[in-house]
Amino acid sequence: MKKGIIIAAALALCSASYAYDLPYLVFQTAAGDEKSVAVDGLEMTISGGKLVVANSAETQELDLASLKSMKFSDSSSAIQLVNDNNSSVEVFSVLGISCGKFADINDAKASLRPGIYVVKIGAKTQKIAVK
Amino acid sequence: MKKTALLLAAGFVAMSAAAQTLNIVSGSVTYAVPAAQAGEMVYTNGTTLTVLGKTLNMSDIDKMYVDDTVVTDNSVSVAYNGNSASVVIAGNIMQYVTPTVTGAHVCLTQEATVSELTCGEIAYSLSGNSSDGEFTLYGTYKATVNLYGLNLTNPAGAPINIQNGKRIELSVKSGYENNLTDCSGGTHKGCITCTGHLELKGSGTLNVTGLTGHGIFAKEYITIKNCTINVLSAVKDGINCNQYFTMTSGNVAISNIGDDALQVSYKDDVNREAEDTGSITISGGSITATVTATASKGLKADGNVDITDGTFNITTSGGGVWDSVDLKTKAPSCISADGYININGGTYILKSTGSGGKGISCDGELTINGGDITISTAGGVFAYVNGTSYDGYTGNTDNLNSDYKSTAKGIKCDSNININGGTINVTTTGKGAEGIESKAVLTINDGTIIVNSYDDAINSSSHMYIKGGNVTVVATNNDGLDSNGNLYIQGGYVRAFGAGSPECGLDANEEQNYHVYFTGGTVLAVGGNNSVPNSSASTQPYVSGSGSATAGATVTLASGSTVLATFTIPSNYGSSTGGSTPPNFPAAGGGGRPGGGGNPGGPGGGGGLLITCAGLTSGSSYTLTVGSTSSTVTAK
Repeated sequence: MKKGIIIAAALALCSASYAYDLPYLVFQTAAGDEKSVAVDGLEMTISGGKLVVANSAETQELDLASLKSMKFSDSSSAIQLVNDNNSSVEVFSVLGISCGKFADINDAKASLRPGIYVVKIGAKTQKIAVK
Repeated sequence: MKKTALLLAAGFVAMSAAAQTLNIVSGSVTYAVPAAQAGEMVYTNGTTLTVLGKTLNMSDIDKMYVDDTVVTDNSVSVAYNGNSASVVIAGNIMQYVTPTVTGAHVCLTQEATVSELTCGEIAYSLSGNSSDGEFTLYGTYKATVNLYGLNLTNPAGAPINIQNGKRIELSVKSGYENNLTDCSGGTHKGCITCTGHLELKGSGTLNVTGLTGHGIFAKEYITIKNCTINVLSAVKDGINCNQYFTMTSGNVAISNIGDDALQVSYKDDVNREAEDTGSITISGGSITATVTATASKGLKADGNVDITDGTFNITTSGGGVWDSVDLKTKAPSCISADGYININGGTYILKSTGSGGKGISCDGELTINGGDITISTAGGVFAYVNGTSYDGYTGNTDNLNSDYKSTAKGIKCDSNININGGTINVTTTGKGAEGIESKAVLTINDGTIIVNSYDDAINSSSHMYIKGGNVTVVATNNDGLDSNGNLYIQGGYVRAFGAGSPECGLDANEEQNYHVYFTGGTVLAVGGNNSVPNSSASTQPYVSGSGSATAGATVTLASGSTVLATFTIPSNYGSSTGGSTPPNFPAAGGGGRPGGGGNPGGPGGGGGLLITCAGLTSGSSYTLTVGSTSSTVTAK
């Protein structure tokens, strides 16, 4: 009985959904920042110099002039765009070693050597790339 | 537990990833980019987006979206819907195909970079309906066009216009019927126009209406396999192409046309390439054609015609015409070739009813090795006399130059005719209409040949050889077998009936010192006269006799109780309209045919009835029975 339920549940999971091989579309700006968006229900339109990106979960606008490229990706581990430029940040290396606290994200980028860092802004933790 | 794990694993494996496609929409065009192929898509200055080598203006992009559309590489689909058309171009070829869409008028350009080394052949699939649309394709590399139920009318030109000099496969998909109509008064060559080689295939149906020119036109060759092609009407030819035409299967029906049903021309007048043969080659399928225009043909080839199989039902009803450029009369024909014609099989019903009309006409040799051929002509003479054209001319044409008259014939060949097999049945009823004519040497080696004709049943301008076969000829107004050289009977079973005197069952050109030679065969000849041998080279004796030749009667020649030869008078003998009354052949010993001016007259003739067969000995007596009347005859 238990075996049957497990199998049924697995098959139901299989039939209820199928996965895209590349479930994310990753946008990269000229500055090197990246943002990934799930492609489920993804539709993009152009309005007033903005690329309006909408999926089943959210809608956001990306400045066309600052966009460099986009590509499909198999993971959302892409580096996120940090939109909040005014809050103080604490920066860590990818190994978790503290690299210091800064007034804001721009200050952090100006101060740090090129590389990938984890940035803590308030309760949020994101990756950034410093070039 | 193990089993459960295996089942789960199988389930996850079965959970396959869906197709994932980025659709970039620009007006009526969508570029379908598989996510796995997309790679890095580059934005430049916020004004352009480059995907797979194709740069698009952001201002031209209406939207982009991701779905699970399955994209086939190298594919373009065009779906017509009233006044619009939707074009979908596979991502891998988006840099190689440039679309221009205005309403339902779709113009696609295959870039010059398309090649085997880049993307390879592209397939264009057309479907839908529009009464104001077109599909125009430019390119320099081969392509495939698939028809999936396309109903397209172009009021401004050809609905399918392929400006591509390479191989174009036009695939009429199984289960689909397609209808194409062009406009009148246009400048295009055909409702389907192709500047390359057009290969028609697929098991679907294609209906074509050509209101400007041809139904289907290709600047180079056309091949047909499997599909059903109906040219419902055309101002000019049903199908017109250059280089060559081949058909291996399928069904072609052509009607309501202003010129030939199928015309194949040389592409170049000089310096022709090897494949520029101007030929028609058919090995299967069927062609049904109704031709009504004057001097028009069913199948017309600048080169040769080779047919090994197929079913042909061709009718011409137009009459002759005076060609003021070539300064000669021209007449209709069901099958016509400027080169040779070889028939090795197939079933033919060929009817030509207009003046001068012919069943088969060729300038080169005619060879028939097989097939079931039925030919009938009903027209009379087309003549051009003193600047006036005459349909069904009834005046005397004996002194009229051959360029000024066209006489109906079942089969006419300007070169040798060789019949080696098959069944050939020719009927001609118009004034002056011969059954089978060779302007050179005519040879029958085998086959079943039946000719019922107004004029000579079988005529040769040079020698005639009957070496085998079963030959029955009935001429109501002239000779059965008429050779203008020697007439050699070497084998076969022959029944030859001519009209009354001076016409013959067997006629060699004795006026010009030619003769008949019997060296074999079984022959019954009935006519007002018959040519007889005058040379020891004729080794098989003959007998002459008397009797009343009535249809269905039996004629027997016996030596004692041994029947040497038996014949049945054809059932239609004497029942044809027109012409002289079939002769009751007189007693043997009637005079031979007179010589021409100055030449001596012929030997004692075979006027009336003549039989030659194996088993005769010169000087011996035999019993000739015609119907119920017997007489004794002596072999010569």
